[in-house]
Amino acid sequence: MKTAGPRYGELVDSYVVEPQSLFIPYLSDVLASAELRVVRVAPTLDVDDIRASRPEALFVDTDFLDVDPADAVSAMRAALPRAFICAYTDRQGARADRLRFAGANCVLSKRSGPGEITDALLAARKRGSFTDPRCD
Amino acid sequence: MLNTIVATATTPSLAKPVRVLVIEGQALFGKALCQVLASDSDIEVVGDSDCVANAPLRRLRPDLIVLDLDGHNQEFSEAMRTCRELAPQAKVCVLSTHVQPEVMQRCLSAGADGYVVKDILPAELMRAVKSVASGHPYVDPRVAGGVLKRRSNGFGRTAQNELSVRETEIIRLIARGMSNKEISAQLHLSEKTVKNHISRIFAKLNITARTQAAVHAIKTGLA
Repeated sequence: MKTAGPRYGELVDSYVVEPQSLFIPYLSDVLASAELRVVRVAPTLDVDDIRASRPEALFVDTDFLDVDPADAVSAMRAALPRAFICAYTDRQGARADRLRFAGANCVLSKRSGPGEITDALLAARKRGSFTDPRCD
Repeated sequence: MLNTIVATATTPSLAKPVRVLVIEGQALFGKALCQVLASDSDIEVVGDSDCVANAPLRRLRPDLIVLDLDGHNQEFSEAMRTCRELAPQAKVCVLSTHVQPEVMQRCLSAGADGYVVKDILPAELMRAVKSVASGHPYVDPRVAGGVLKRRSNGFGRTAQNELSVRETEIIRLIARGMSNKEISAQLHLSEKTVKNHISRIFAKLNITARTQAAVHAIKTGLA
């Protein structure tokens, strides 16, 4: 899956799928440090809302989805072919290959600290992809 | 069990700040949790750790431990025992991604004083922490509602057939199609331990195949 995505070095509008509301302010700060500006947050996956919002980047907590994470990423990729998509998971051995094949540019582990997340996101945006080895 | 299930509507007033230790395996979420808790003048966050083994329980002497159910590498009951041994004065409020009543019941049985689900709103989290610190058990009202529903439906299993927290985790992973090797990697257990857990699951559920376990998990809302 090749996606052009937003260019590295640009501040990009980002859509977050995350039901843990108390997590949002801190997560937004961390994403901002990776040049991802959170413009919309949804507690659940709503592909129609994502399509209507047209964000340049998507950050999705795949551990709380009602559907298979790879199917969710696939649906997001279909809705926004050029977006930067980051899957965030606590599953060790999260079958990152499936997420990548479905269209994720970046697969991040919840074991990562804020600095690691920032570095990983910047690396993914610069190189086009990043997968935390803990998710493989 | 039901007499321990109380979701308070009001926030108890506290004579002095509650000293809270956060034990959360998800690094970012742990930091966020500390930030939210520290914003309340009735709460003092005295420390945070990624797991019970690394937490300076004896030194910090917290009044309350917010303990992540999912993020540590040992059985929850063992984690609870460690908390009780090293910080006997502390109440324990479990933080979980699970809304299944049986998971909550097992946490309370293991000695937890509170059970909240991670999508809790910040204001409700404060209420939960203060309630538990004041000696009033607290569980997420949605989970408590599930217990009442199960009771009224009359299909609760007997205690000896109930799955442990770890067995519940494993049956959920079986339902996702994961192999023993994948489960052992995810839960940081040896494959032999995973096999033993699966044997106990089969015995408790009176089944003989993984597909039956997966079907059971899906039918009972575990997966």
